[in-house]
Amino acid sequence: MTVDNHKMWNELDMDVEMHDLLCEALPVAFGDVYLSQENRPEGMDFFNMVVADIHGIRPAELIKHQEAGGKVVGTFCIHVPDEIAVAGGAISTGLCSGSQFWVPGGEKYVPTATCPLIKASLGARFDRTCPFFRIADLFIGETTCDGKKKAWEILAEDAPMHIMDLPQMKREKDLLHWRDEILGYKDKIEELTGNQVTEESLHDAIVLINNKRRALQRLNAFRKEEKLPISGKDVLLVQQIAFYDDPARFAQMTNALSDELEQRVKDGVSVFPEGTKRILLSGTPLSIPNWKVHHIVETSGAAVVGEEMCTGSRYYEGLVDEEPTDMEGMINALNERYMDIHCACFTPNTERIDDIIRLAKEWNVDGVIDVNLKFCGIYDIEGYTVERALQEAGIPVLGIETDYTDEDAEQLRTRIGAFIEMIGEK
Amino acid sequence: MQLHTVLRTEGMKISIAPTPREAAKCCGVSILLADAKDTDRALQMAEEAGIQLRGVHTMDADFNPGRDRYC
Repeated sequence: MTVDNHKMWNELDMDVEMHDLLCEALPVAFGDVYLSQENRPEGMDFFNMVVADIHGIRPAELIKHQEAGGKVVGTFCIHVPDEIAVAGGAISTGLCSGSQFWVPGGEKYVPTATCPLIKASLGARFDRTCPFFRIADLFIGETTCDGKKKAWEILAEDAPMHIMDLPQMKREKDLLHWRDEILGYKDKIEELTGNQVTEESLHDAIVLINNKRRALQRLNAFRKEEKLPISGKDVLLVQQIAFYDDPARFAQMTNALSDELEQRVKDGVSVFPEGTKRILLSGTPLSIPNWKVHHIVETSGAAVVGEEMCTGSRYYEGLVDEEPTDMEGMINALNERYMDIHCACFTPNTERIDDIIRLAKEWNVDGVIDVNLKFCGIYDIEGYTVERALQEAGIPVLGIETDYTDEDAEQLRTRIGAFIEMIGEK
Repeated sequence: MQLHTVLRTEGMKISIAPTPREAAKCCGVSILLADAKDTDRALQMAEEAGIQLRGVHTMDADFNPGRDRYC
C-alpha cells in the first residue's frame, strides 16, 4: 500500500534527507487533528488519501503530463485565472506554503518580519523540499502585496517566473489593466505550451473550473445546517486540496461527499454535540497543512462553519459567466469574476466587510474570529475596519494574529476558549 | 484503494491514513482499521481479492487532539 517515492524525489533533485523530516511529522499531526475525530463522513477517505501521499500521487501525475509533452504552472494566488492555463493544455497547481518546516529556508532570503506564507514558499523552493516546486515549468507571481512583490524578484533568480500586475484599486482603468494582464498571461501560456487558447478550449476550461466552484459551494451550504454533518476542519482540508488536485476529479469526489452529507442531513446526523457554538473565520489564507486555528476552535467547544478567506469563500464564491463563447466575451467574463475578489490588497475594500457580515448572518454564526498571519500588514490594518463593522452589527468578534509555529497554541487556546465561552447563549 | 473498497463493502470500520513512519519512511497510504481485531479478517479478504499488501503494522492509536504539534 506504500509506494516508495524516493526515486521520484531524487530525480527531481530534492533534498530527500531533509524532506524525510517533513514526512515524519505528517502522520502524527494528521492523526491528532483529523483521525481523532468521531464519525467522519466516509467520503473524506479520498481526501485522506491525497494528504497521506501528498508529495507522491499528484506530483507523479504532473510528471506524467510533462512526459507526454504537457506543461505545469505553479500559482500562489487566487487572482491568477486557472482557466487560461487549462485552456492552453497546461496543468495549474497551487504551491505549498502552509508549513513551518519551510519557513527557516525562506528566512535565509527575506527578513524574519515577513509573512510566513511567503517565507514558506521561498523555503520550499530554495531548500528543494517540495516536489511541486521542482516540477513546475513556470511560476506565476502577482503584485498583491509588498512582501510578494519583492519575494518574486528573489525567486526569479532560481525559477522561471511570470509576474501579473494586480491593480490596487477597482476603477474602470484598473479593470482594463487587469484585462490586459489576463491577455498577457494567455500569450505566455501559449508560448509555454505551444498550444493556442481557442474559444472552445477556453469555454471548456471556464465550465470545468466553475464546476469545481459549484462543488465547493454545495459542500459549504451544508454548514448552514443546525446539525452539522461535517466538521469545519474536514471542509478546510477539502478546500486546501482544491488548489492542486485535478479539477474534474476534485469536483466529482467533493460532490460524492456532498451526496453523503445530504443523507446525513435527512438522518439528522451531527458531528458536534448540541449547543456547539458556531464560528466564521475571516482573514488571511490557510494553505495546506495549516490546520492549527481550525483545530483549536473545534477542540474548544465550537465548530468552524465558514471561512471568509482565500482558502474559503473568496476562492469559490462567484462563477465566471458561461454565456459568452467568443474570446473577447470570455476574457471580459474572467476579468469581471477575478477582479471581484475582495482581498485586502485592494483599496477600498468595503465589499469584504459586507461579505463577512452577510456570511455571518447566512451561516447563523455566534461569532467571528479574524485571523491574521503575522507580518501581513494589509489584513492586519484592515482588521480595524472589520472588527468595528462587526461590533456595530452586534456580531461578537475576536482578532488574532498567528504564524505556523506550535509555540502560540496554548495562548491561542486560552483566548479562543474564552471567546467561545462568552458568545452565544445556548 | 481497491482494498479500501473491498473492506468498506464488508462493512468494516476503516479509514485511509498516512502510513506511520515506524512502518515506512516516506509519504504513503495505509488503511487504518478502527479495531485491531479485524486484522485477520482484513488480511483474508485482501488475499481472496488478490491484493498484495506491503505490510501490516500494529500500533496504539495514539491520537492526541491536545498535543498541538502541527507540521
